[in-house]
Amino acid sequence: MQRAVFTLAAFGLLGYCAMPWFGVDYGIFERDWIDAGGLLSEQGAPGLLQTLIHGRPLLAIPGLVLAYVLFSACGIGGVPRGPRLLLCLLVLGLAAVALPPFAARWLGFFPEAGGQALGYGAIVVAASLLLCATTLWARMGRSNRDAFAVGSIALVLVLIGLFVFYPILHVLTQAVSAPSEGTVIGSVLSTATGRDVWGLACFTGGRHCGVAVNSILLGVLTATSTTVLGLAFALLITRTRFPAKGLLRALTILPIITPPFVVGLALILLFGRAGWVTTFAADFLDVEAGRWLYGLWGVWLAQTLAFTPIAFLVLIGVVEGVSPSLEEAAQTLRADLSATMRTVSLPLFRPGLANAFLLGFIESLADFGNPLVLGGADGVLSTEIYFAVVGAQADPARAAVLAIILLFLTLGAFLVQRMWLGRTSYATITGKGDNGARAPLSLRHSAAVHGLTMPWLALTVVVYAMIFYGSFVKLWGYDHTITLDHYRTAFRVEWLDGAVLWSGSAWNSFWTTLTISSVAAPLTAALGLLTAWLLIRQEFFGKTAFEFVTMLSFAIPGTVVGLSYILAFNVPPIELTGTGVILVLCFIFRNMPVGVRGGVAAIKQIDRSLDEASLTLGGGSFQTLRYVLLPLLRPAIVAAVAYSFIRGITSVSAVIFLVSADHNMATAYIIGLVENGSYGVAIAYANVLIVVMLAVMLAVQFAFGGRRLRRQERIGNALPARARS
Amino acid sequence: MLHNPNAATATKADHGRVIFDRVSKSYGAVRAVEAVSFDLEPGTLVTLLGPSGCGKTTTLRMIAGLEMPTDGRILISDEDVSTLPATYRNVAMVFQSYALFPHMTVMGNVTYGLRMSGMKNAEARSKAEQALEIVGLAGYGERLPSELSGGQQQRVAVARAVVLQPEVLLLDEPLSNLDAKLRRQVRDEIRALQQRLGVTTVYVTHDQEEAMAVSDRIVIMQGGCIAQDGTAMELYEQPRTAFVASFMGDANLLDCEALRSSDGSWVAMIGDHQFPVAASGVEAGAAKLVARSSAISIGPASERTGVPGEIRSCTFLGDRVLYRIETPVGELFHIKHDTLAHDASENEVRVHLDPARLRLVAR
Repeated sequence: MQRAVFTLAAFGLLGYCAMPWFGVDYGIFERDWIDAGGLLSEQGAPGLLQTLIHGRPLLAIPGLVLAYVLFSACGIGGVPRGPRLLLCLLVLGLAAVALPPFAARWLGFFPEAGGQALGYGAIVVAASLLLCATTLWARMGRSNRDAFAVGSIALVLVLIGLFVFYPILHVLTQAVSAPSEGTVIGSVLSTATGRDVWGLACFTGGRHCGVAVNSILLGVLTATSTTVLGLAFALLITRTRFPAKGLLRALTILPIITPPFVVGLALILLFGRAGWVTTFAADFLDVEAGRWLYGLWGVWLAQTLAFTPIAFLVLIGVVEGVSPSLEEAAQTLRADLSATMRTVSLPLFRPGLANAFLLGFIESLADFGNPLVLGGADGVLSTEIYFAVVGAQADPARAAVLAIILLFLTLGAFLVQRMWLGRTSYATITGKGDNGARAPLSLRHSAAVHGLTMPWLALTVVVYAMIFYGSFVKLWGYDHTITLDHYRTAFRVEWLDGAVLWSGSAWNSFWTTLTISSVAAPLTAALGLLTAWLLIRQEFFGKTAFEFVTMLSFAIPGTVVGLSYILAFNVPPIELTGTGVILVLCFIFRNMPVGVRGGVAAIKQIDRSLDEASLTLGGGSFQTLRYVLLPLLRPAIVAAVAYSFIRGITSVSAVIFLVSADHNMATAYIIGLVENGSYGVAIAYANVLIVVMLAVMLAVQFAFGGRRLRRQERIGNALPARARS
Repeated sequence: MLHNPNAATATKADHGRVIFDRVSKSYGAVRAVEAVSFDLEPGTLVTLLGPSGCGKTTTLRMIAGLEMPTDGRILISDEDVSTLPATYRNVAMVFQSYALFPHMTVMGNVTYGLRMSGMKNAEARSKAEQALEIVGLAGYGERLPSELSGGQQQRVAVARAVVLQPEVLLLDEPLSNLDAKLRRQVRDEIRALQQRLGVTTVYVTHDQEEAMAVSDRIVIMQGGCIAQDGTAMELYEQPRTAFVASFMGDANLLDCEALRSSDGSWVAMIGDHQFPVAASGVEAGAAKLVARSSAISIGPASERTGVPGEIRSCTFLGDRVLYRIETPVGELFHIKHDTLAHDASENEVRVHLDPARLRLVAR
């Protein structure tokens, strides 16, 4: 324990003496700051020099505290070393590092501490102080002397606070920032209740409803259609003899590897003004080429195509989870197939249906790409937030108010899902071998299921064929010659004087995307699994709230995250806009809940007695995690890494606020192409992304898959029609 | 041979002594263990016996350091370990599920604890090989747990625990995952190993026969408290409560009035019937009469002594016959081992109770 404190304090002192306290231009990995004087310049000076030379006496405190802790840890100088005293000192040091810059930003205190972003030195010192404090706290006999667990809890809490809540707080303050005219409350209220937000004109014959009304309407429509389709597919797979079930399961990974707006793009190729179907209808049926696709209905169609697999994944679990013996019981009690479905099966699915509906609602509200591509004049909240920031109006206060409305809607749906449905589940997964056969569908139900699913399947196949075909067509709707031009524009590679020249226009954003995603993915998985481990295996005060908060961040729409990040990290003390770091951080904290969920599910399957065995054999909690749990969690880790990598590539909504000239991302670049009308190149680029992600998925599946424990599904023979007396 | 180095150096007699001093454990409002006190002699095997939910496993886990007491003190080898977590206690545990690490070989499992305490790999391996030899699994080091039978896995779990030469060895229902035949063999092996190593051992089970077979001492728990403790014979012959009497082997329990005559002898009154009792565990007043099958004998109906009885059922069970007899003092069961003397035609009998084998307990 002493050694741990010593090492931590020494590391902190190193940061204090030899790393720039404040952020330097272009980051410390570029030469610029060394050319500007390195550690000796005012900007690049470490904490020690800032105190001695540059007149920042407050910064003496963390240095002195660290030195004191270091001395006491190795017993030099006979200094008093009661843990209580040390703990107080460490908290003081931490306050001296963190409080002044934030106080300067928010309250105007310590003006000399504001104005500059914190740098690596400050981060290292703060981390060292924090971990020294948790180690000592653990030693004081609380929390079972488990320094690693206590440190992890503190670290995760601080990170979530800084990168989830601190930015959201900025959105709230931005919303109530002083307007150019009128009072704060008046301006917030007028924005939040305005006709352009809540207007109902589209129901009364007017042209457009308010954006919030559009969002809710779209959410309800999409949630309804995806839930119905999802249930139909779940029934198709479990209760009919549909031959291509493997293909159906494969289709469920499509939305994972498809950037969300690509479906919208393909729909433009089909139903847009120059679309195939549109021109066909115009030529042969003499129907005027309409613009119906560019509006709520188009977005709804795109979202229904894109999100049905998500509803399916929820519902297949529910449909498979309901014990076949319940249906067999109903049949022995004289219910025919339709009656069994109506009176037993459907009521048992009800919690799952509600769950899928709410998930579809949240997904639809959070979707940014499809409304941007197809929305036309019918704006929704997520796109309106974006335009309020980047558009001509440039009104961050309005963006913030809209973001809060969107946040309330999604969090509301999320809370309903957790509170109301959290406990009602009829899924009966017992340890007993449940050997019944599922009831097949009655003829009528079977016809309905096929009637619903087959058009969706056909449309999906056509859509993906469009995506593929469209990327090879010269100019869609006008010149259908097959060409490789679009790929050439985006991904040209030339030999020039014996060197490779990546002259395609997409290479820059392509490599940035891959780099940022592959940096973020392992960090996301690590943080997610660490959090999952804390949630499942550690007991601590406020754990329920902690769990709730980590899951809550899942329901924050990407647009709100993006907005909150540019508002929070555009100014000191944490200044990150324009860097790659802000993208990495955004990915980590947006995708972390997925890692947490995966980790929780995986850790729950590992019997607790394995941990306890390791503990009684003298392994500490870190060793138990490292040598017992991690090797057993390998599949979950790989899945988390792969999934966060792919989510990094496909995400649009948050990223579009955070990209910069130096760090452009593929999706943001493609959106730009779409806005310029370069559909061909956009689709070609999207194709390349899909292929890359598919390759990653297959490689992962090939290398680590194959541990399937799913039991064989059987469909019972259709019962002979029961003679009714 | 594994030798406990501490046993040689620690001349103090308290090495391996486990003391519970009014220890309680509650989970929220639920009190799992309530003010339990005991003092386990070093080198003995003590069984915690009781029905499920009686607090025996919680007690064991508190010795291991996997649960911390809400109240009271725990001492191991005279050191207060009440708040010391499992990692730092010199205690080893064999889990009910064995909890073998599935991704490590047998050798990896057995050396795990040694490696965690910083022992060099080669040294750990040679110690582990000795431990595996003791449990009869020499040469199995490179197998994975999944390649072993249930009995072998259990031995690995034991080897993994004893290789650490713990001050206290804890066994949590170690036989519950074995089939009936293997159970008897393994429990004898565990007992032999424990005596050979001389390690203080705490054994949790709900099977009274298993407890009687392996223990120096048995602690019977009920509802989070200690009902009674003592040797198997003490508990069987001199139960203090009806619960203990019924839990340690089957017994007929009859409501009665305990009377003490002037000469100090005891009589149990049931209705009009009086039964002399050699010893009592209660004060005079309402009590229960414990009559084990061995205290009952049956005679022909023609006899004048004893209580009249009518045989309601008799069940042939191979090496014994089980009778249910209706008498004025209540229904009694009786086991006869002489199956040849069994005469199914006779229904009316006289029942005799042997005063020396009867006992009075609290109601």
